[in-house]
Amino acid sequence: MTSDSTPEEGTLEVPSWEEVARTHGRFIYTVAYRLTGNHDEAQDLVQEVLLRVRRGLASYRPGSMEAWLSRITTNAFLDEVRRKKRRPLEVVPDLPERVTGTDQEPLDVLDMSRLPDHIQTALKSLPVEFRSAVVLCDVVGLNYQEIAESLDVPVGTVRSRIHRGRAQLRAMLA
Amino acid sequence: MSTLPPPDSFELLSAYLDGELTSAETAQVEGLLTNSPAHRDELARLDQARTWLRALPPVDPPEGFIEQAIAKAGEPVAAPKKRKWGMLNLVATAAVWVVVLGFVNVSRSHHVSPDVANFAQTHTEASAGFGGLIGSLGAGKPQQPQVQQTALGEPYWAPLALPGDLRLRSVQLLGGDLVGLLYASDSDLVMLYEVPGQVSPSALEGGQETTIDGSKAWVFEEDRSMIVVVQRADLVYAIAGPSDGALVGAVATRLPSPPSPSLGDRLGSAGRGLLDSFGLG
Repeated sequence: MTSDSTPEEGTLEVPSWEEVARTHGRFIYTVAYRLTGNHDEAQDLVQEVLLRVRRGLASYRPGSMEAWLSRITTNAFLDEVRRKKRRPLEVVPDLPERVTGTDQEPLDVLDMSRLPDHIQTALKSLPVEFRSAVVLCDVVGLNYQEIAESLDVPVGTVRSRIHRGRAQLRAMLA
Repeated sequence: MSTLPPPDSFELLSAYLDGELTSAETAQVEGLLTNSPAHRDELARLDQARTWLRALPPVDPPEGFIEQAIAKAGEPVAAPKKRKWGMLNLVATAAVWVVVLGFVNVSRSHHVSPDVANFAQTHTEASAGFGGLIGSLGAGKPQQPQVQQTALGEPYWAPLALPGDLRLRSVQLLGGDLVGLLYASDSDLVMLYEVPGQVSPSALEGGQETTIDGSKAWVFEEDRSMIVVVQRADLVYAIAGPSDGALVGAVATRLPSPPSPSLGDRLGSAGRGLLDSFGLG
């Protein structure tokens, strides 16, 4: 999903934030939905992302616009998760320590016609750290270095999170 | 007797599928796949998961949502936030900050051991300095001459920008090893302090203990302010900011990695420091 807009050096024309929203709105929404797992939270996340795009577009540098947007979206998502963690009455996503690849209950009999729904359900049950890495890799299409920069973690951590995320997801869909 | 492969060899498999291994690692994995049915099975499972994920279709937002979101995001937002960061609120934050700093138990092994009174005094001075900057906020550009107002006469490395469009506005050496950094955007203000030492967890019971990027941290929320104290290696960071906790949390994840527990060492390693960045070095 990141191959659409890599401008050649010296020819960059930064669009307005409204143009970015209209051109890439579906992309942002897709990433937001894959991260949050439901439409209400995806809409809230997109709203926050557009605010950040509006404020931060001046800092955009030549490169993949979708990589930049996915970075903003993921960071906004993780910020919201952290905010919720500080409020114990709200639902807190599972922490990595409490979820392993072997104690997941497989989903009910897999209806292949609804495979995307099943995958999304499994994706949402992943710890947020694994989910973010997997979404950036398999949904957005970033390479490990780009993911490491987006999440501000070492490449080795990205490798581990992607592996464990996929392994857990596959176990849930077994 | 056959030798079992190391457990983490399975972690190489996903990276192998993604073409993210070095040539040596690739050779290692291919050797495992030749000799280990377990690795072949795991590779097939991972490949299946990867294929499913990559086949997920784009998701359409509800009809008209993007235009509505654009309209909402375009609404002016600066005015209410600026009211939040008036001088009174800054003073209130300063008061909370002094309380938190009182919990910091600086290791006696360091050559400077500021006590609570020193923290209070230096923070009062810092607040006055910061308050003087408030009127200049909103221009959206770093006020470079402010660097000259600081007591930090030597280069010091600090991020020039943090999440949330926060830009470095001021660096101050507040006495001893305590460094104060002021970051501001058009509408938000975040103060970041750094001091060598170890916090005393028992003295931070009023805060919510958490982990930020693998470092122990404590979150304090007071009225409309939030303070996050982070213990990273031999340095204590404290970030004070607005009630928008997400912003403070984002800043907390972008703390500078401590190059050394000693300010003297940190200053001595300068050369790519802040003053150089401003052309003042």
